Amino acid sequence: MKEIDILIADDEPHIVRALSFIFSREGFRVETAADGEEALQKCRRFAPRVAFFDLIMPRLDGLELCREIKSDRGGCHPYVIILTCKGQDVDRENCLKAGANEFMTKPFSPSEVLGKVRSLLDR
Amino acid sequence: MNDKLRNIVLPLTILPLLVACSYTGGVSSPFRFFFFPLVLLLSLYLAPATVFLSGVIFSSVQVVLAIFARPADMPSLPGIVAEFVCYLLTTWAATRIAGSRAEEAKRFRLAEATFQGLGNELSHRTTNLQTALDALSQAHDRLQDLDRNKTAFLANVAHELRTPLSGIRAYSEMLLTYNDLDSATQREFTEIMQNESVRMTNLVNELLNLIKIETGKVELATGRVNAAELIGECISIMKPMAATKGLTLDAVSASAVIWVNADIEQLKQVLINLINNAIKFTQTGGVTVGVLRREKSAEFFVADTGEGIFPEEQEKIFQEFYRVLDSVPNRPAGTGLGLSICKKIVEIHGGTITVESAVGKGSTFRFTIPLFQSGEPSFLMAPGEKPKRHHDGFRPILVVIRNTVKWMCLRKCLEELGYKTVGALTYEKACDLAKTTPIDLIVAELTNNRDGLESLAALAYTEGTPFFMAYFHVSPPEIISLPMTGYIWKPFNGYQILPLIEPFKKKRMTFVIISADMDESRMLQMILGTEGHATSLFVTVESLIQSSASSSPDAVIIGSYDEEALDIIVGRVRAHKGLALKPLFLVIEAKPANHVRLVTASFQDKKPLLFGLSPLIQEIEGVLLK
Repeated sequence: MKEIDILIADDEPHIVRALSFIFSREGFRVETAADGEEALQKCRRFAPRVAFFDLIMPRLDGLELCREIKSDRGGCHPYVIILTCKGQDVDRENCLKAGANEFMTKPFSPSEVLGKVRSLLDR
Repeated sequence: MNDKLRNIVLPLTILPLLVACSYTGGVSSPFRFFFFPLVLLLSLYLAPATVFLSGVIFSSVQVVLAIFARPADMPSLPGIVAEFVCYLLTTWAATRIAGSRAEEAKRFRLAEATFQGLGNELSHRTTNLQTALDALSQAHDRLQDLDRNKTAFLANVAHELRTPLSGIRAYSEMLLTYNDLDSATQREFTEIMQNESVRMTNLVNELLNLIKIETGKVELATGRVNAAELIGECISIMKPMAATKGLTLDAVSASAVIWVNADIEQLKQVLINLINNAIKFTQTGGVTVGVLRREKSAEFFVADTGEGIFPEEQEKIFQEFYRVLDSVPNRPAGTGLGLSICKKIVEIHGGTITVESAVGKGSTFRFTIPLFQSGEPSFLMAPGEKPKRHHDGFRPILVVIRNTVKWMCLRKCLEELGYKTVGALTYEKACDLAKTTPIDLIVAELTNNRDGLESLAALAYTEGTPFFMAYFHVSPPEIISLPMTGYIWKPFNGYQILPLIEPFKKKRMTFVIISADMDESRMLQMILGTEGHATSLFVTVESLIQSSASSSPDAVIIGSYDEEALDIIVGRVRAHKGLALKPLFLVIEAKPANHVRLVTASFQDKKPLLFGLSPLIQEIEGVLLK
């Protein structure tokens, strides 16, 4: 099984492109997914250490994806960061309840996101 | 008890009885003991004056008997005189007692009537309050719903704005941070930022458009539009977009020309939005656009051979910001507002929009737009439509009458005098019209349906627009007149009613009151009765007409009726010889706002001005020439 550092799941190609560009430049191993279902498959296959999920995605939304991954027995348990346009308190609560480790809202600053990943992956 | 019987017949029948018992019984008769109490009782319960008279006659008979007949035990003459004086004193006392009793009874009846009237008024107002309360709580619920919707809408707006904004922010920061980017990457990032800012601009524009439609600020410039021609125009605009995806885009032409009543720019936007969606969600095949004639409207359709829409999504797609997600792997860009804008535009035209779809086979959107009617009445103007010409610097007069015959007559009358008019059938419509159309004056008919009257009056007050109200009557052929001499509003009281009848300078007038509401007529009867005026009450106009054949009243009061019933009653009264020239008073449910002027037909020298609208015209000219 090929191990990767970061999985990015978002249905907006520009967001995926921006995040993967930043992380690849820093030497992280990155995988991307354009919808929830694909993200779930890749998560199980590549066992990423950190995962960025959008909330609204085709086929499987971020909350469901979060629950699926956190309930995987013996599977990988990445550090899940929800990166979404939804900024209401209730959204944050729902995400944390679903098992997400962190909740960030768009628009985001690439350097901030990078700083967060660096501290998590201890590099 | 019949008054005549009580006052005259009964006392007189008792008189011979008294004489008989006095004469036959003599001084020692036991009947004499009962004589004075009997007189007292009779005086109390019968008319004192008649009893007094019978006493005088009785005593005279006694005197005559004493002088001429001289029965054995007849009392002496002084005895008879003393007895007579006692008799006088007794009747006098009885008269006083009876008088004060009657006065008290009258006061009691009056108080009772007032009490009953107030009780009725109170229960009426309680009902009104309850109704108002119900309406308020309903309005409150509606507002809460609206508020929730607004909150959800704002959250959605924020969400939708963040997506393009996050692209712009991320790429601009990346461009600034990394100095070593090659020029191709730099260009790629700049292009993404450019696209995202365009997307954001579109979103903001559509939002503004939506708000404009939602708040009714879109001024529909409706007119005659050739449906097939418009479709052709939209197809030529969208053809290049279809061609780049390799799709066909065709029109299905109808055999006959279909004219619709629409704002051409808005209708074009609906068609283009629908065609744009159809192309976006179709990969192979094509899009067909057409129009069909239905009974009262034209039905446009845009059919595609695309992915189709799941049944559970078909209702949601017309909601703001809803975008079809699951059925499309690479969702085309969009604001999620297009269809909701289409729906709103179709609805303000008076049409409906629907969708039929089968997943994998394609979707068909259909919407209706009213057909253009050549004889469409010009006074039913869409909000925002402005009159095309004004008459000699005067802005039009707004005429609010529910009855179209009256409306036409009054309009004709005013236009013959050189005024321009616009009209509405209800106060609500008038209010909408007055907000968008400049007007100089409002003439409205008094009706018992007062919905929207208050807001119209408030609008007139804030704008300083003169506001006249009156009851109008049309008597064939086409003569409109102001038949009312005065208006009486609820709750009734003497202060508003008595000045109305003062000009007739008659101490005791006879009124006929026709009303289906007995509380109403009794209250009026009581108020007029305390001033000494006679009243007779009628429930049906037939009974009123019948009674007026024998006696002629001084004035007629008509209770609160709905417009149709009122027109019939006024018609019957005006057609009746004995009543046609009598002053007419109309009961209205409530007093209009202070700045609303109630126009009445004036009475000159106790004679009514029968025809025409001269008092109204005088008032209008007086106001406008100022």
